Amino acid sequence: MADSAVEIGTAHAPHEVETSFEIGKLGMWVFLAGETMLFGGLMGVFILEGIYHGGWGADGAHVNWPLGAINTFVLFSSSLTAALAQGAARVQDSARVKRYLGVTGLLGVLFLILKAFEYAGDFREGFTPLAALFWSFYYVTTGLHVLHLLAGVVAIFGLMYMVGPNTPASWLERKLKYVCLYWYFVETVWVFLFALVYLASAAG
Amino acid sequence: MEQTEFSASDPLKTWGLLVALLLVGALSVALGLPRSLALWVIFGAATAQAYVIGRSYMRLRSEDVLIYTLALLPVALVIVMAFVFTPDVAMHR
Repeated sequence: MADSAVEIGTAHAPHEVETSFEIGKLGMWVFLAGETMLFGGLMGVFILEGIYHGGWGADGAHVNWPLGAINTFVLFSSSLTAALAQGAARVQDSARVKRYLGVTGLLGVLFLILKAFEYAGDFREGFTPLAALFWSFYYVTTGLHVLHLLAGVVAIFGLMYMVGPNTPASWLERKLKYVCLYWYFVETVWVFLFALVYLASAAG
Repeated sequence: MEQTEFSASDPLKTWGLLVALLLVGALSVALGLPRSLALWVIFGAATAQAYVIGRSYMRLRSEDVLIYTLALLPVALVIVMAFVFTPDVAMHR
């Protein structure tokens, strides 16, 4: 195990039962496993429908992949600041944790703003969810990702609000680990969505 | 094991690697590579990015087998589902 059972935090929550696992982390991984099935199933259906229709043709060519690439860059930068926040928590620098969390959250908000611009552009050109099957999949998969990212932004700003000079170091490191784990998962989902819905649809 | 000392260089290196892989995938479309080659490059880069995130940020390299199972089992199930449905889709095309 990477973390000891001591980290479960009996000092702050004496009612918790000590086990050999870090319960919060295990719970987060079980949650992420379910989310993987959700996004994996959607992407699997997207691929199979693409095969069934002999590719997505002209619809796929209209997707705004350069803006998607910029958004990917924004998300990669947000995971860098999240990792830096974790590093700062490890050396018990709560001021730096707060700063890095703020930047991470703001980059998440920037992602959402760019996505809103992208959706607005698609709608202006007539590519609504009912325009074609490709666009239905596009809005369902990317929209679901947007909702997950929004939840991540709320969690990051919520944790940032809770961090103060007297925040217990072990508590902060643990909560930060769960929030960042979720954030990295949302980033990984986007990596595959970008490859599948944007790049693969626009290729060739 | 958990690191006790913090160095910003590791997350920066990971970020650089992810951005480089992003450029590889994007260039395969921008340069107009043949579709089959472009798809290999795009999904190769995406898989490499997921590996880098899992290894460096999620720290999967230091996790035990239970976490690995939780991370990989749903991926395996989705791949099995896709393969099971593929003949059905191909025959009805």
